Amino acid sequence: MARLLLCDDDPMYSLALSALLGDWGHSVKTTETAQEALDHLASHTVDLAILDVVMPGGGGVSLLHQIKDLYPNLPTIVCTGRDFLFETPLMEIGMEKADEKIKKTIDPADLLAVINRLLKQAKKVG
Amino acid sequence: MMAAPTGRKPTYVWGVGLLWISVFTCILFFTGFTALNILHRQQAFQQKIVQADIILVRLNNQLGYGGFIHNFKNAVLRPDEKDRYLDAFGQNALAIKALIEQTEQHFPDLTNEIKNLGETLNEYTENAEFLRQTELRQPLDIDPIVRVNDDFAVQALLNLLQSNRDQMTETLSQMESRKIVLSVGAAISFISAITATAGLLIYARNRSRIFRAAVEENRRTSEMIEDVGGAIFKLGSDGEVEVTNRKGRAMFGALIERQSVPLVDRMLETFPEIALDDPLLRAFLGRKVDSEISLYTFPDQSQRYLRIFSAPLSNQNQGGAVIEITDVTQNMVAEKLEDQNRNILVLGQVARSVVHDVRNVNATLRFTLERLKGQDLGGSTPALITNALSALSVSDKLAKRLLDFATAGRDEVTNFEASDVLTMLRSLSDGIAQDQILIDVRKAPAGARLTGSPNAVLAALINLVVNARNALVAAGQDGQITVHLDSEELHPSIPGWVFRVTDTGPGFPQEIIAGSRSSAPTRSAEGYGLGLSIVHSVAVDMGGYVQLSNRAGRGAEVSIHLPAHHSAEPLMQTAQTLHASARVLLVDDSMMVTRLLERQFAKIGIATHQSHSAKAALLSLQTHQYDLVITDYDLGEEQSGKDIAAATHELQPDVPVIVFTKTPEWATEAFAHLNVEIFGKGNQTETLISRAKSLLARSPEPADAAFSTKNQ
Repeated sequence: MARLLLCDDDPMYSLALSALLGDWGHSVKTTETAQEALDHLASHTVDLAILDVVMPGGGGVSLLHQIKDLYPNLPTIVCTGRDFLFETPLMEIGMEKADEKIKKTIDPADLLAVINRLLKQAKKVG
Repeated sequence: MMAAPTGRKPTYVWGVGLLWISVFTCILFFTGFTALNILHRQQAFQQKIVQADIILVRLNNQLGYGGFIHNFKNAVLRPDEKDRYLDAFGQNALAIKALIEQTEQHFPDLTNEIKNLGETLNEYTENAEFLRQTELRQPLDIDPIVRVNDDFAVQALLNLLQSNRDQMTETLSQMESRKIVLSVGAAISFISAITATAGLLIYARNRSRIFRAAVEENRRTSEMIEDVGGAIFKLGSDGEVEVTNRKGRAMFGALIERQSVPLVDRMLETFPEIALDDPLLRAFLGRKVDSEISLYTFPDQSQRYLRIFSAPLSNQNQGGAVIEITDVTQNMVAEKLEDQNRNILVLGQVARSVVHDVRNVNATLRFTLERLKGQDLGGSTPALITNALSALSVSDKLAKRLLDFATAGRDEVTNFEASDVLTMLRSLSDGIAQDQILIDVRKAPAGARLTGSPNAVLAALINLVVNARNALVAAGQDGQITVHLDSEELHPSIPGWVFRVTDTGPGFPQEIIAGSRSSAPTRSAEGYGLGLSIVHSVAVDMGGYVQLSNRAGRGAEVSIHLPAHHSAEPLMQTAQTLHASARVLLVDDSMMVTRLLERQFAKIGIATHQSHSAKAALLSLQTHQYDLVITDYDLGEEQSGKDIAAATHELQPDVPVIVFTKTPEWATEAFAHLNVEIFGKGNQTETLISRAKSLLARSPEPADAAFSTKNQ
């Protein structure tokens, strides 16, 4: 079981994804803002973080950089429902620190594979 | 439509049921015949026992009191009546002898007992003969005669009686046991056969009920499909499709007529773009198709979205199916799209919002369903989840196709607040900035609204900010990138807004700036790492342009000049009221571009005729006389601006042609052999209008001054 942090301003999406992740055997903490996510990371051990790219009042890109500055070894996935962003240099320049970039419409099986791969890699490094 | 029952199950149930009944009926008959046989044997045995009893009783009577021994002893003790008793004795002896013979038949195993009886009889008979011939005077004479040992005979008789009883008891007991076994077997067989028969009757009744319900459901579905203009087909076991309503014939015409050519070949001929995994083909091959929507180009070149649903017939082995095809295009959007292009824009906007929502909702639902799928839920829930996941896939496809359909060949146009774009850019730019590079995205002025694609504008700004940041990093400089929005006239009396992206970096090389003034950014500029072609394309598509400049000693500036938000309505009313001094055909697949030109021509009193495809433009050239043709180079289809120019020269040789394109440097080469003038979109728009005005001034005013703008 891994401890996951999910940060997304869409509570329904968070609820559904966290329930699915829970069924896959993971413990999930959901947060709706970047500050909540940082507070949780400061007081809890997290094995992997999933961040929304676009959030009001402080985007996931900024959060990604803060997380990677503070916890460089924490596997981090960024996700977005705005597919066009994948066609901009933002994905390569702004989010180069992300271990994986996914669309929100990703197939659950693919998401599971991404999470398992990152956790496995982190375990090897750790 | 209710799913048709599968074909294998009923046959299996009927087969097993009938076999069950047959087996137990056979067992029932066997046990019945066997029991009857035992009954007959039991009766025969009892008869035999009775006869044996009668024989033994008679034997006992002949031997006992008043019988054989009694008469012999009376003959000894009563000499006066000796002859009478001896005669009676003689008759007893004859009867006993006959009875002994009968006993031998009944008791073949008791020969010793029967022999003892016979010996006793013989001894008495010999003594009786002696007695008849002798006068007994002294008791000593009598003694040897009467000293006959009866014990063996008595014992033999008792043994016979006992044996008879034992035999009867044993045999009857065996028969009773077999009768019980047979009765139980018969009862089980009877109950089994009755149960199976009752089960089959109940099953038949249920099947009948399901069949009637399915028929009723089909009838109701058919009515519903009729109401929405759907077609229903029946795929026969021979692979041919039978149409069951008029709509089907109207929709597919000759395709469904029986011919010598196989159906599949006819389909491939009718729909050459059809693929093997296409739902329509799969349905016509008898495979199950849940509910899929696909776009088809019909022989009359009309494009329609069809919803295809097929369910195999009850007997799958026959390969038949019921196929339902509904023309979604016609029912949902065709009427609205037929007359007015603006409805396409409206639909496009609706589609985009729907698609965005649907995609987010679908992602949420998919996670929820996937989670439920992993749980052990009983009943029909797993099937429902599978269906829901399939429906989500269809929904994804439908959303994408609806968007493609609504925006096919046209710009994504919406009215949006510039502040929304800048807010999002600010949020994203936090991640783009580095320690020594500050990115300042300033607030948009109040009321700054634009018409076009907000996502495209955001993507352009991200490109510019990232490029500026890369330039600063490459120069090893600290610095600042600023993004702000100003109000500015795009063209004379055309309100607009300009996004300015400035940096404190080394600035652009002069050749890049010089190149950008005359045309679109060149490949060398793109190679410079600015990604300016994308930005230029976004600006031009929205009716604007891009400018590059270096600020004196303060780095570079890229400005995106865009028209301010305007109504989605074409200028139909305005144009109709204008005095048209000339007629211009505008050909461009971008509605934004034709609308902008239309407005600018309208301001100088010139009415225009817009075509958004080469096909429509060529038709217009055949039916209308123009004084000027302005065409884009790339029309997003097989025919291009070259075809428009060539057709104009052929049909209306005196009419000048202007090519208005994003890539004038490429067009120059492409139109080398055609007599055209070429202008770049964006910052050459004003020049184009001036040149057009000049060309039209040479043409006489049209007789029909009321020629109005119309859209195709």
